Order: sequence, then C-alpha cells, then structure tokens
Amino acid sequence: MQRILKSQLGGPLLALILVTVIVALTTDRFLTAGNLSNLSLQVSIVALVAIGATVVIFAGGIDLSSGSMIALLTMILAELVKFGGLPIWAAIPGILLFGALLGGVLGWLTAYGRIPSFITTLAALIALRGIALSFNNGSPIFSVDPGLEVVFYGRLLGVPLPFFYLLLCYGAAHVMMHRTKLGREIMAVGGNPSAAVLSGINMRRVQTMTFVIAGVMTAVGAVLMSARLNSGSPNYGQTLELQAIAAAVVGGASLMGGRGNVLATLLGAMTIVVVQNGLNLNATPSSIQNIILGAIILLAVGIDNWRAEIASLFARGSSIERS
Amino acid sequence: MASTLKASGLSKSFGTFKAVQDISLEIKEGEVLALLGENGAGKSTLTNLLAGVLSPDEGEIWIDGNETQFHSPMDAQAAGVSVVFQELTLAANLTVAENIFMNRQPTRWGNLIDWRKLRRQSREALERMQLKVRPTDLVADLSIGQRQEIEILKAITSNPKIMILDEPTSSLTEDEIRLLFDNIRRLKAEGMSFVYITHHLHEVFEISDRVMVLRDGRHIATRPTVELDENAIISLMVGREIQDLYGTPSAKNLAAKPVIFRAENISLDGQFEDLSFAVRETEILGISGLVGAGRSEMALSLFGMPHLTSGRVEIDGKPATIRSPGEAMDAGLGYLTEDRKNIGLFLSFPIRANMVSTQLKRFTNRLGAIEGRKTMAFTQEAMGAYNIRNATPEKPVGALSGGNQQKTLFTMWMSKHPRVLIVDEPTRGVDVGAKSEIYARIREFADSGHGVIVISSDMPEIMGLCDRTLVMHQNKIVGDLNAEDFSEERILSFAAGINPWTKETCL
Repeated sequence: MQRILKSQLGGPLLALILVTVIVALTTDRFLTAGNLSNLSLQVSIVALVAIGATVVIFAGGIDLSSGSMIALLTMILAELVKFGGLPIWAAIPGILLFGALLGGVLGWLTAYGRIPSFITTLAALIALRGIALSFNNGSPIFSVDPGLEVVFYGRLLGVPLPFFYLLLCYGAAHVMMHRTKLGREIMAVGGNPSAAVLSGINMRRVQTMTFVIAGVMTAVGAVLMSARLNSGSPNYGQTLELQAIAAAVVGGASLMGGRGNVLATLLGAMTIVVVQNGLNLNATPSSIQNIILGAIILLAVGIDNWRAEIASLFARGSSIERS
Repeated sequence: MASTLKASGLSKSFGTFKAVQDISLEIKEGEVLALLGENGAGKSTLTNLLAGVLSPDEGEIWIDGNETQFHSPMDAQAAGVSVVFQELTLAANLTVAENIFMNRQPTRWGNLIDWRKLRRQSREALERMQLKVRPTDLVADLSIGQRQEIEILKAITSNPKIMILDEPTSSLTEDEIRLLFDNIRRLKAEGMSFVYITHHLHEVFEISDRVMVLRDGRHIATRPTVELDENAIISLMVGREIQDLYGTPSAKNLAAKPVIFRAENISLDGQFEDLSFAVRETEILGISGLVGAGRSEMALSLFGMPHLTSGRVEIDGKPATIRSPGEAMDAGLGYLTEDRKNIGLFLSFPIRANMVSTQLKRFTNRLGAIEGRKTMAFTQEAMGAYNIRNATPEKPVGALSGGNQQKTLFTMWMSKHPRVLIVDEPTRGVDVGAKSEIYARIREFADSGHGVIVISSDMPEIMGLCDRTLVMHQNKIVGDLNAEDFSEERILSFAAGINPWTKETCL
C-alpha cells in the first residue's frame, strides 16, 4: 500500500480504477463498446492538450492560453481550407507550425521578457479569443471539408484514430521527459531554477521550449476539434485550458514545478472524463456535475498532499495487526 | 610548483561601494589556499570573480599561463574553475545521480540519456568519496550534510583544476568533516588546487598550505599557514587584537535566581521522549551535541513547530500551552533559527519590514495601519545599536552580508523581549567581528533578567558564552555541565554518548 502511495503513477491509476468501478457499477450502459469508444474520443482532445499543460507545469509555469488558442486555430484552419482552398494535408502542418509559433511567442515573453507565465497566458486567454472573433465576422464556419472529419472519425484496424494520436503523443512525451536532456532540464528548472542555471542549463531556452511544446499540442487539439465538428468556431475550447490543468493536477503534477509524470496526466484526463461520462449516463444535471468535478480536483490534490499522513495511517494500522 | 591560477589587480565596485580593490593572487598546483576575512571583507566578491559569476572592472586572470575572461560560471568551469556555493544548488526533486551529472548526463543513440551509465558513473564517484548515498536516492530525502557532500561531489566530477569551497563544513558533522578533509588531501595529491573559505580557524590549520587575508576589499597578507597562529590570523582579519571574543561573564548568583523556564518530560512522537531541563533568570544555557542529535528538533517543538505531543512547559512558574509559534510567542518564548535564509528572514523585504515583523502590534495605530515613521525610527536606532553597516533601512535583507542578516534577526527577536530566547547556531556563517558583537548582545539580554538557550555545534562558543550546558546525544540529554566543568574533551565525550568520568555509555 505504501509503495503504491509513493509511486507517481500508482495514485492516479488507483483513482482511475476507483471511479471506473463506481461508474460501471452504477450504470448499465458504461461498459458497452459504443460508450467506451465514445469515451476515448471524448478524452482525446483534453488529454492531448494536457500534455502541453503538464510540460509547462513541470518547468514551474502555467498555461492558461490553450482554450482560446484552440478557438483561434480552428478559425484559421477553417478559413484556410474553406475560403482559401488550401488542401487539408497542407493546412494541418501549417496549423501545427503556427501553434508552435504562438507558444514560442508566449514562452519568449515569459522567459526572456520576465513576465510571469500566469500573466502572459492570461493575456493570451483574453486576446486570442478576441482575434478568433475577428475572423468571419465572429461567426462559426461550418461544413469545412468532408475530408476533415476522417482525421477524427477515421479508424485503423477498427480502432478510432484518436487512440493512435494519444499513443503516439504520450509515448513521445514520455520519452522526451524521461530520456532526453530537454526533459531532464525541464525537471531541473522546475525543481530548482538557480541550481539549473549554475549547472549550465539555459533556463530561458528550456522555459520557452515548454511553451512551444504546449503550442504544438494545443494545435493538435485544435485540428481534432475542427475535424470532430467539421467546423471552426471562435467559441470552441472554453475552459479547456482549465480541464487540461485539472488533468495534470489530478495526475499528480505539482504546480510548484519539478514533480510529476506525464503519463499520469493521461490517467488524470481519463479519470475526469469517466466521471463526466458516468454522471451523464446517470442523467445528473450539469450544475451537480461541475460541483462533483471541483470536489474531485480538491480531493486528488488533497490526497497527494496528505500522502505522508495517509501512509503513516496505514503503517500504524499494519503494525497493530502484527502485534 | 607551477601556478595554476594567477590573478592580478582585480577590482570590482557596486555603485560607489568598492567590494574588491586591486587584489592579486596566485594558486599553485596541489595547494590549499585559505581565504579569510570578516563578512564584507570581499571574499564572496573575489570568489565570484574567479568563478565567473561576476566580471571584474579591472584586472586579469590567467589559468595555466593563459589570460582568460569569464562571462559565466560555465566559462569558468570550462577553464577548470569549479565552485561549491554556500547556498545549496541541488534540485531536490531529482535523484542524486541526476544532480551530480546535471547537464552532463551521458547519452547514447544521439540524444537519449543513458540511465544505466549515469547510475554507474554516479556510484563510482560516490564510492571514490566514500559517501554512503545511493545514486537513486532523491536529494529531498538526504540530510543537509549529505546534500553538502553531493554538492562538492558534483563540482569534483567536472574534474576542475581549481575548486573553490565556500564554507563547506557549515552543515557537516565531525565525521563528515573528517571525510571531506581526507578527500581534499587525496585530490590535492592528484594535483587539484583549492581555495578554501571558512570562519573556523582550526580548519585553516588542519587543511591549508597558505592563508590569504582580506579586509575591507583589500589584500592584507598572504603567508604560509605554518608561520601563523590563531591570534595572528584574527589580528590580520580585524586589524586589532580581539582580547576576548566572548566577553566576560557578569557575576551572577544563579542559585538564588528563580527558574524562568522549565520543561518537564516533554516528548515529540517519533523524535524524542521525556526530556526535562530548566533555565534560571539571567542564565545562558547551552545545548551542545553533534549535528543530528535532535537539538533543533527539540527547540522547534518547544516553539510549537510541530508542537510537543506530551509533557509540561512552565514559564515564570506558570504552565504554558504551546501549540503554535504564535502561542509560544504569547507565552514569552522567542526562537531564533539556524536557517535564517529560509525560515528566519523575509529576504526580499527591506530591513525595516523585517525588524518589526515579530511585533507588528507595537507599530500599529488605532486604525490598524502601520506607522511608517515609528518603524523607521526604530529601525535606524536598532541598526545603530547593532552596528549594521553599509545599509539603509530600505535595503532588502537578502542583499546584506551574513553577519548583518544575523544581526537583523537578533533585533527582530530581542526587541520583542521574550522571557526566554532560544538561539539556534547564533553565529553560523558570521565573521569574527560580528560574532563578538552578537555575543555581547546575548549577554546583555540575559543580564537584563531574561533566560537564553544557546544551541551550538561550535564548542568554543558554548564554553565561552554559556553558564551551563546540556549535551544531547541521539535525542537524549546525556550531559549537564556547569561552567567550572567545561572542557572540550568532556563535551565531545558526552556528545559521542560516553560519560567522561565513568567512561560508560550514556544510553
């Protein structure tokens, strides 16, 4: 028990299993193929954006911009494809690149401009949605291109494509965090910035890179969002940045930076989506849903912070059993 | 012997303040140069110049005969100068191995970190230094002493020609210090040179070949260590003979004084059990022992952090319930921490704000607003009384020297007039001049009808300052010595768990 509580994946995994069991027991439609497949589609966008949110948090920053950035990027994508006549295969890499660029600008302002990331991305949260509204007179663009839907609804070997995106992106993120110098530099910067600098790590470059990664992952989310509804809208992605942060936090990432596991963020995102799904299946009103989600976030971080006490509780219990 | 590093005419000013003026030095291959001076003498600035943290306004640095210019610590490291800074620079969230080889991790297949090789290299390095730490341990789980050792190891593994050690022993135990010295001697024999900065003079005699003394940013003298003794060094440092660093105790008849503080059978779960002791009015009670004996833990929990799990505390004969630092202060206790940077001072706040932070009520008017003029007058007076130099009340405490920071901390607590003040390592990282001032203040405070508890690892400090000392060993009070019985051997013996008279183990 103590070992599970100590490991960084164990806690989030336990939480996910717990909510899954509860939801599966309280509804009869949860464990149907249709629902599970739907679930994986539901989780994909949040989970992919959450990779970026997590990496930024690891380095000690925060990214509030992803929701609005998604709105802007879906509008640009729709504009380019529907009105600009750009083929999808060219538009999508362009959007990813543009996401990287936007992230880079935010990262640069944060790292080199020495403006706290909370502020730079809060400004972006407000401003980017404003820019999104300036396209197409602020109206959504529907029926962009039938080919776009394939990106989200397509299947490979009978498995929905978003499943592969998750596999690919989380695999890459894990290798990057664990096996590359950049990944360890991100952890060092988040854990002790002055130690990182004195070890010759280019802290500002590392911080900027985390926002570039976040920008790319947000762009991936934007492409999927557009594909899912075959449209672009300045209203997409509202509060998505908060869901992404919630996924990271439920997954055990410390907002102080330097602690957590990027794979746990996927578990965190799944936990949140399973709860939402269960509540939907039980026809819980959305007001109650929000209250429950808030409680889950508090509980997840609370349990994480009270680890020592909980572990000692179990330790004490077991020593009594032995005596 | 060939000289590894040479510097000539180094100068550095901050505004109008000349931190370092026209300093020249030479470090030979395989020697240990002790760098001494009071706080503010320019040691830190000089080392920062040699380490590339600062660039000199004037002067040159040669390494192995080549003139070099450092623009960052990385430049210096590449040229072979490594620094172990006084402030720990490890990332606590990462493992020992990752910290040792931070930014130098072995990689394979292009850019992927080779974890196995990283752990093996770390294990080899740890074994060479005889450190009992595993590469996979999290730095967060290590003791302060172990962290210091890892810090030094991190610098050593970059294979520098010159290592600059800034107060490396400040948080090490006796055994750890011995190990460090063994390692320095071995590396010396391999040709590594050291610049060793310390306030502990006996270390100078034990480890250094030459001594360089700075005062007020100027070079005073550089001599072979064997030509010097303790008094000679001190007089070079302060420019005057300090007759008695610890001052003279005033005549006090302690037996006739009432007990001001009493702890009876106090316990903290998982830490210590059933400790009892008492302090009389005007008494300075020492608590000595090795690092890790449980002294600070006991003091902190008397102060409510975390609060005692059982036992009885009396102040002026009245029982005191202390469950938080606030309640401790209300009951008449003060606690001056050994860790002034992290839990003692608000480093980014001005001196003024720090000095009044323990007693805001006194400076608050009826509307609840803090009276600026009153705090200013108080601060200026206190800075004068404590001789806090080179600063204005508006200067952030973080920008002060260690000695001035410590004096600010003393003002914070003494001016509140707690009945009993606990001071934990009152002179850690503080120069000789500031030390004697702090000792004088402690005596004055005790003589004015208070009680003082001094926790210290510095044996001469305990013997020079205290009327009586307790000695702790493994969370127990094993010795209780009056001033007449003080000797380094007896205190050390108790600290090691052996009764010096009966030669029996105390546990």
